[in-house]
Amino acid sequence: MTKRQLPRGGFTLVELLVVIAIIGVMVGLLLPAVQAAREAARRMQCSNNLKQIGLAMHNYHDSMGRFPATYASCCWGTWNVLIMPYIEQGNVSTLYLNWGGTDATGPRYGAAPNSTNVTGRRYASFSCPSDQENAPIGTLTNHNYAVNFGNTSISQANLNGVVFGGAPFVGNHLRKIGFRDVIDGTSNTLMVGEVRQGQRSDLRGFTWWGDASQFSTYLAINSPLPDRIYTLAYCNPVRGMPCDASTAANPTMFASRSQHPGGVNTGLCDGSVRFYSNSLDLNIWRALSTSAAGEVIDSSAL
Amino acid sequence: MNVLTERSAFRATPVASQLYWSYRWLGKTLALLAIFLATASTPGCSGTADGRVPVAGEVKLDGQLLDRGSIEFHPLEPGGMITGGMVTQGKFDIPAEQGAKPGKYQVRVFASGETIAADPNLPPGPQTDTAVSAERIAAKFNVNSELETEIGPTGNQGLLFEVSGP
Repeated sequence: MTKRQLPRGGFTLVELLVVIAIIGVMVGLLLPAVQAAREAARRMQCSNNLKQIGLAMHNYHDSMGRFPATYASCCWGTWNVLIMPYIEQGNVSTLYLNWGGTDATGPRYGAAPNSTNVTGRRYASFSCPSDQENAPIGTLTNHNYAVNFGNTSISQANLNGVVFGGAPFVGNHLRKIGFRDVIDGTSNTLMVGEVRQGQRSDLRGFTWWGDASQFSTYLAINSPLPDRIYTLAYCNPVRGMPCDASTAANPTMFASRSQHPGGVNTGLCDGSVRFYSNSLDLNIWRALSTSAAGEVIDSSAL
Repeated sequence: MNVLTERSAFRATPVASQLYWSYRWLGKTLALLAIFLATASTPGCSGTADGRVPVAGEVKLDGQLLDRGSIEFHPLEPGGMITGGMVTQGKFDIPAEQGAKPGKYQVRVFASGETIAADPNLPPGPQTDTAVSAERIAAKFNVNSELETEIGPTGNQGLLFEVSGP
């Protein structure tokens, strides 16, 4: 009796199914990894922006003998305009009228010609590619970097038991703060941090406006507690960005937030850029933001 | 299993050892796949690695669910971390990644009152940095809080805090 062998040219069903399953698993593993690689690249771009801003701050200090002023009250310019000449945006900064002025001397940040020449444009150096771009009012743009206002709120006073420990940036634009005032050490003090751009009419990240040009560390990194803005009209609490109206116990303050998984990029006063994780102890985060409180920061806790 | 019966039906006279090896091969592959999938779907090292636990519950203001506010937990024992979250329609839910470490906490509840009118189509003007809304909750529940709670080792889900106005 002759045994007829089946032709062995093709694949069996089982072989095909197994191969398909393995490919499925590999694709499933690979695709999210590709997206993560993209995010890693965006984060790198974002930290590069912080580095450039840090260098610009240092060059500004070399020229002027002080850090740039944070803002001139609400409406007459913020630090973004002051450091523009140091990030090769000098042509734009010369078009900005009335920095440090009043209503009697010229336009505000949101009025023509400032709105068309300066504040209505988007600047890649001030934008984190991981975040969604937004223009909350007309063409006026939100951006992603704010300066360190210390460990309490915009009023830079003691708050609910937290003692204000000094900051490299202050509210009064005539007060000259420089490296000599960073007593805790430039490598232990934050300079610039990330904030997220408020969406729709939300004014978080509206850094042309005095209030939103700074952040503080009373709230933790990417805090589940709300940022405080003076009116709910400018508060749009999307996911990861809770906000509420300012009160006496919680005055206007903005936490450092980002779209990067797990934390925020931060520029320090020495020009270095570090990534801090969401799980960083709030007390250490606050200690990092103070410029003259004398805390000892254990680097193993970072 | 279907696949296997089909396959054995397809081969009218399977050699016993051949079938045995293909079964065994399939079994091995499936086991490997299962290991892969289990590894991929394990939550892994995120979240509770630092000993944080979830905290959730309700807040009532004068007997009614608090429509909008925030709740903070401040540690009363060393080693704790400040945490908190938004209160929406009376409920708060803080996931483990942002949760509290087990221990005793002081609880602070805040809720802003009437908001300041503003036109969202115009850029804000002066005095916005000092403008504040009224606080709807008495100081003994927030800045001078007498509220305390204990967070258990696996977190708390049904906390209830009753607060009143000033």
